[in-house]
Amino acid sequence: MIWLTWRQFRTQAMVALGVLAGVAVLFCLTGQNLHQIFDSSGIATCRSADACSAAQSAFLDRVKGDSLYPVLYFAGIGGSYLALAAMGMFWGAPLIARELEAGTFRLTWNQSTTRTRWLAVKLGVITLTGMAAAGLCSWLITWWSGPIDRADAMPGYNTQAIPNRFNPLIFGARDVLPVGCAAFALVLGITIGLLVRRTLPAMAVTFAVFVAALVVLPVTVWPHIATPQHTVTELRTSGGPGTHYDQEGSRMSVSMEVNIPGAWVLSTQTVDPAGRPFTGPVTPACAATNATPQACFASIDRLNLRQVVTYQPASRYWRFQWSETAAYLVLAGIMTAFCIRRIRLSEARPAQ
Amino acid sequence: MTPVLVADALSKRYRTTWALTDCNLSIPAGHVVGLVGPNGAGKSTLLNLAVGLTPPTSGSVEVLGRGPGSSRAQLARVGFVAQNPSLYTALSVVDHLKLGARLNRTWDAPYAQRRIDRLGVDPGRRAGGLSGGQLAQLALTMAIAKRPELLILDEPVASVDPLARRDFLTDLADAVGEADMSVILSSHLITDLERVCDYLIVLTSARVQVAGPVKELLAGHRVVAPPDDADDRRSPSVISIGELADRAAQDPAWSAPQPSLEDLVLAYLSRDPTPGGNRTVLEARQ
Repeated sequence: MIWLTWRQFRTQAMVALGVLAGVAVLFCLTGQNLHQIFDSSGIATCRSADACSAAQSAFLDRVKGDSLYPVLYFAGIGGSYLALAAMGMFWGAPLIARELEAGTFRLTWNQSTTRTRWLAVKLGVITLTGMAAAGLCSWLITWWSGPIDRADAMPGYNTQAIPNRFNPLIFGARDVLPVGCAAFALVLGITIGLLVRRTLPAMAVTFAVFVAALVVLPVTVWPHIATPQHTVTELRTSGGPGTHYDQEGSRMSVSMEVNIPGAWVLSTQTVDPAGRPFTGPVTPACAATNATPQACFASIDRLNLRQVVTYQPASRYWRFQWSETAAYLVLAGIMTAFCIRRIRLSEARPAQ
Repeated sequence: MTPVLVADALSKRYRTTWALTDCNLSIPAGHVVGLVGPNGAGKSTLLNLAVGLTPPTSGSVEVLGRGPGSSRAQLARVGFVAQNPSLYTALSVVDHLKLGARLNRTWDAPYAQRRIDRLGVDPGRRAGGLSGGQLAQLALTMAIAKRPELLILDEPVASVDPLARRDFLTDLADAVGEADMSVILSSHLITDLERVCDYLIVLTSARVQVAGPVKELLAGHRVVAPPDDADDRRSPSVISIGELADRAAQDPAWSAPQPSLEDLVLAYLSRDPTPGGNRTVLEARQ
């Protein structure tokens, strides 16, 4: 059975191996240079806050100065998600759907191997292969991005910099999470293939559901893995950089850039001294036709507003990595159980 | 000896249509059984039920004394060739034989190899590039090489040209002669069945019309033709011996030879299947 699974899968596996090898060469070569830049920047050895800040700026400026690194940085993230979706679509969805569509299940189900075993082996081999591939990819990309992630998690640098590794967009392409996500994508594809019974629609549905899960889960489920922390800071605009100010009619909103190194910021809210969300009214100094920015900002500071930031601190990075990975694996396990139950009872309609 | 197939009030419904209704059958071992009926009569359904690809809606079916197979042991005892042989188009002939060898403990590799050699098919050829006849032959090879006690074939030669069909059936007859194996073969072509079958089941409109050994069925029926000079201008009809006795007693000039298998089958196929229809035309008594 393992032989058959491999025989049917080997072309796809070779294609994937080729792509992976090409990507590996590219990232290995450029990654070495990136690590050299990091080492020579002195971030790892700096002692004083000023020295570290200077080293950080020097490093990030140099990285941003060469368009290759930003492109590869984001390509690594985008590529990770694309690879996961492609696995679900091209490895997962057709696995059962193609057999049902072509009728070849009639041949295999009438050999002396139970269909439960047939499904278990196919699903097992493909899913483990996919998880291994995702793990390798993720390891490579995490290593490559290591210098940028580390520099980014330091305090001080202009917060307009690249979002840190705890940000959901980047988080899903780091460390162990892609391994769990690969299992989820593949078993999702297999399950949808079993239900839809036709290859192309199954691929389309798999893609849609997978993307929906990636969008919905970070908003609805992941933030609740641990109770978020809050910080309350006084809102002192003073017209400094990083102040957001917006005026619409008699309403106004104002906020400051948040700089909590390495944290996943869930929300920021501006509240008045009584703790109510602040939405206005516009201060007279800002509403005046001849308003100057200085006078306007000074009037805002006099309101004694505060900013409440809800976030998951950087120290929870690994807890979230393992929790989300485990959640994906549990989902994959539930779908596997469903598939096995379903295939045992499944109907094979005769082609009339 | 255990019957190869026992159906007890077996019924199968797909959504709103009954594909098989109240089927009662007991097929003894050691026969090549022809299952005949028009398209959509429920032949495929009955065979799919027998190999466990489909669960029954009601009633039960036993194959070789046990429930049809999801267990490994039961799967090994029954060989199946599906309608429009479902082979992997991307896999070669050799790969298919390897598949059989890997997935069956009782695989007869020398037999499979001999058979492929005799067919003259290039073993490296992909199944997608084979002709319909070669596909059917490869599927048959795989089903026989697992050395089943019962071989079930669902319209294996429906889409095959006449020459390839004859070869296939000859090979099947040879294989049955060599091995101790019962066969159930469905077809809507009576000539196919005439060549290999010694037991017949006629299935129309999801019901079993008649079942029995071919010899007994033929001996139990007569073609009745009125004498040339009779006023009765009805065309010859096949009737049972019991009815013949009445008719012949009235007028001994009526001729009554044994029907051919084709006459017999056609008579049952064209019979009104609804209860209370023209049942008097045929009533098989054995």
